[in-house]
Amino acid sequence: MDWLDVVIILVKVVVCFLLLNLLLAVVVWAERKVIADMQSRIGPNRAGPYGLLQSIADGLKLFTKEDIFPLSADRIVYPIAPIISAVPAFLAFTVVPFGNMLSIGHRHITLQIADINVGLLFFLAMGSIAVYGVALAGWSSGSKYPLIGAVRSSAQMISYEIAMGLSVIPVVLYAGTLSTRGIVLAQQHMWFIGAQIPSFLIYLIAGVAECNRAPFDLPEAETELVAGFHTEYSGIKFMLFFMAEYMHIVTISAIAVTLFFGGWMGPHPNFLVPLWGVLWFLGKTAAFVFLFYWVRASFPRLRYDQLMNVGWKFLIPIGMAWIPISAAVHIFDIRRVVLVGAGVIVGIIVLSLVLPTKKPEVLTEEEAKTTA
Amino acid sequence: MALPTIAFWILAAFTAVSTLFTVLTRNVVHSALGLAASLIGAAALFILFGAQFVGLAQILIYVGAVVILFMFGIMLTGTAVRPVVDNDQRPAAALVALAVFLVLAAGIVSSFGTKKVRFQVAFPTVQLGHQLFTTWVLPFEAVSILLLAALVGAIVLARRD
Amino acid sequence: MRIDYAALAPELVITGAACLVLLVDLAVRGRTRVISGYIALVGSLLAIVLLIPKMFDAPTSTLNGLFVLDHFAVVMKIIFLAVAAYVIWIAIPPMRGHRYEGEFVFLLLCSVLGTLLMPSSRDLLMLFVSLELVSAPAFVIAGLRKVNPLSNEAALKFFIFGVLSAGIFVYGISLIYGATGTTSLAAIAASPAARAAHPPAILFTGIVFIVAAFGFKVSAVPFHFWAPDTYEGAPTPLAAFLSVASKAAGFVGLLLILYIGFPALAKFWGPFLGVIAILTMTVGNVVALRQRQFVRLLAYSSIAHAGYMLIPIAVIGSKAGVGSGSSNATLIRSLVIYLAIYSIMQLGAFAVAIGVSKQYPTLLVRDLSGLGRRAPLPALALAAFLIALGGIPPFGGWFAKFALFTAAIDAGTSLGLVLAIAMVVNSVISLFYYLGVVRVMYLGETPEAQDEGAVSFPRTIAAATALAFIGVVFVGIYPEPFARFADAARLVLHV
Repeated sequence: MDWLDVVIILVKVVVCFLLLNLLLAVVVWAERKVIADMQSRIGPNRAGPYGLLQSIADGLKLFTKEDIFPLSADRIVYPIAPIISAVPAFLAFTVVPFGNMLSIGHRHITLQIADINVGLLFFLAMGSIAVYGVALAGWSSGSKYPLIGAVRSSAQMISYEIAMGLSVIPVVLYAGTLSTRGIVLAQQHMWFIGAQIPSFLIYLIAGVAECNRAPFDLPEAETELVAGFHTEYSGIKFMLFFMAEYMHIVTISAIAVTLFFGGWMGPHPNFLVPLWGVLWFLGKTAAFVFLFYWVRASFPRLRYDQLMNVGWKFLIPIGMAWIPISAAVHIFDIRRVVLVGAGVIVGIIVLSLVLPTKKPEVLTEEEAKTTA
Repeated sequence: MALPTIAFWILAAFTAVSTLFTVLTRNVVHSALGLAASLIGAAALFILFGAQFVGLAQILIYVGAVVILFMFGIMLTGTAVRPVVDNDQRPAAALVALAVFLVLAAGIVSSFGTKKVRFQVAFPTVQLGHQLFTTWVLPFEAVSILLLAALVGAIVLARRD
Repeated sequence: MRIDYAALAPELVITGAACLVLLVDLAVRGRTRVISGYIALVGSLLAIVLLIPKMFDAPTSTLNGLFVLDHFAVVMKIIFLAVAAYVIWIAIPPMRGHRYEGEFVFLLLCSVLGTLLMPSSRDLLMLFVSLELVSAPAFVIAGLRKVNPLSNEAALKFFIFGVLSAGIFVYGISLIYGATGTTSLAAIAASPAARAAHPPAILFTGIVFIVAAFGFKVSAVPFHFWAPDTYEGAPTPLAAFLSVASKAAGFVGLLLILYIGFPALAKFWGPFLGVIAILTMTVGNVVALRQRQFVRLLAYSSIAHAGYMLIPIAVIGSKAGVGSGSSNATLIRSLVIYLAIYSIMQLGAFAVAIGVSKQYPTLLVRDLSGLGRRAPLPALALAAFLIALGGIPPFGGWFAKFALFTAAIDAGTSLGLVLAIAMVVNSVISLFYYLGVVRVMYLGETPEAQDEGAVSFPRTIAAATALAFIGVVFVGIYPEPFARFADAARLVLHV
């Protein structure tokens, strides 16, 4: 490794960080516009053309706002909780391959901050650290709504992390590697979505839940908990939580593209090849981010027991059942068709189980007696 | 000093300090947080020595699940409201800890004091998987039975009769 | 890689039985739940049947030497399975109708699986997993009587000590791995670090840690504090299992690690274990003298017996040429004999305790007073078990002690001599409390008049007691077949 390599890595880190921040501003603006449109409103339209500068205006406002430190808050943990929340959210993006190779002279630069051989595991690990930000923020605020929000959200994130971990295993099995770049390269002939519909659905549902987004936004259910775990936060600390949430959306979408939709791959003309890859990647990711908005606008919030039921009683068992099915097909080399067929069937089952909100469970007579 | 050596000292100091913080603080939540930090430090050391899979699995399981469950327990049991705990055995515990430390440190220094440790590139995860499911399949399966028993046991103990 | 499933057959049968119990318990309700106990019983007996032909086969190994089925392993597994079957049998009446009847059987089978893996393990990691598999389900069983504060205390103490010892064990493994670069016992023995004239210091630390971890398991002094409280608070069948099978598994593991892995360091661990042995038997016996609760008394008595059973391992260590000569085989044989006979006596005593506990849940020694009149046959059996535990002929125990004593003397080392003498002195001390209980049973006055009626024993318990009684008498009078069985238990170093 010579000094040029170090410089390249630094440049990649700095450029990505700045671009991501810019991207976040766009994502936030786009959400407000899209949701507004779906609800027949106009949305932000004052700052700049089409309200494009709204996010920047909000950012400036939050920067200059008074930073409130509640009397009963924990001296050490309260200030660092937002940082713990934001750092892993950004770190997780380091393993996302947003393009193939950039060749300048004899030097090949992978369009990815770090191609480590256990990239996918890194992504999952960062997701699991993100729980700390929420849990610690809720606890350290020293008041009850944030605490309840934190308890809810840590339970939720742990539960859905398991489902998410299970959903990526078949993909790893097919790609034969945990490297995100390797997984994209393994999809040259066929995107994994073709054979892995159940995995994809589980990943998507778990991903929405991991971001604490509607319909899984119980940790910050306004009607019940004011603003959940970040009720007491204001100013720049609040902004960090805000950025972390949107960063999660971007990363989850980007990983979904990487795992199931061929990453940067797509048909392209034969010039400026790396650029087309990045564009394809951005386009696919944008589609997923849009899906996040759409889901938020469409589904009502789940009740807490329903949330746990969906996670533990549907996603995890189905994820577990799907792993041996995928493995068996992979080993015994049955025609892909069988797998796709089975995938579609299981996918339909997943959807039919998850989508309709479950009726509240009616206690049987016996159970009612014991409860009484 | 080479880059990895510098990284090693920073990580080692970080791990040691956070572990000390874990045992010295009287606040349960701070203690759990310190434990998480020390586990992250240990995971980083694993990664530094080429065991990337082990390091990240450690973060995923210990930091992401086990310590979070501690936090969960703290929050649910009301310790969160009054998190400061202490007992009167601190001096005795410090003495024992110091003795154990001295014995281990002396042993390790005298056994490895002059040896050089090589920093390795990442160990291929594929090989790890192959090993786990061939030679080590029996302990692997035994552990799965153990986890099943733990699962059943946890439900049995946690259930309200 | 081919896996020798025939060698793994008993483990597979027990695993299958455990899973079957889980599923069946899900399906059945009410009184039929007792079926889970019978499934476990059948599974254990079937596994024994599968093992018997292995007594006559050559030793085999599979999974790159990780798992070895030699005659020592076969004999130990048969003992473990017999103990398991017996415990499940005597557990059926007290657990009948319990809310967690099926879970109890399942967890017990998991623990049994751990004991089965132990004598075949030839790798530190495998031994660790086996040890945890023995302990972890037992933590839960100890806490099964959830409304009883004693049971909660039992589970908590057992759990904390057990987890601490697991941590120490792993630390010990890591030190040994650091020094030798391997976790395979044979490779450790052959490694340059272990064979050097001055082995690295952490190797000794590692051995101390491992001995400490197994010390918890076999409840050796000073790692014994959990045992009395846990035995008293846990469901009594579990106490029986812990004091016999789980303890025996600990001895097996300790023997395998030290004898196969560290023959070159015997000069270090031999005397070390010798000191622990003397401490254990003395503390166990002296404290037992003051016990008023019967299960606690049995607990301290089992601590004392752990001290005796450490003797052969310590004496192996005191001999210069480990792995050579017949006296090592004699010492291992004496350990096997002791474990087997001790199992019979201890399980018998626990069976009677379970029988009495229906009427006297506190199980104080005072509650046994007048048992000689009120339940003559069980009282006679209990007297026999206690006298056997004390080592007086004609009941079985004398032969176990005799085998241990002669093996220790024959080794011809001063440590063997010292330990043999310590054992004799301690056996005399132990008679005070064993015979004390017998005296209470036959001469003690029942405190209240209404306690004069007959103590009723469930039929299963009565049968189990009778079986143990026959065993203890048979071994005492005609120990030859038993000795032959133990003779077969040859530990193979290289397969």
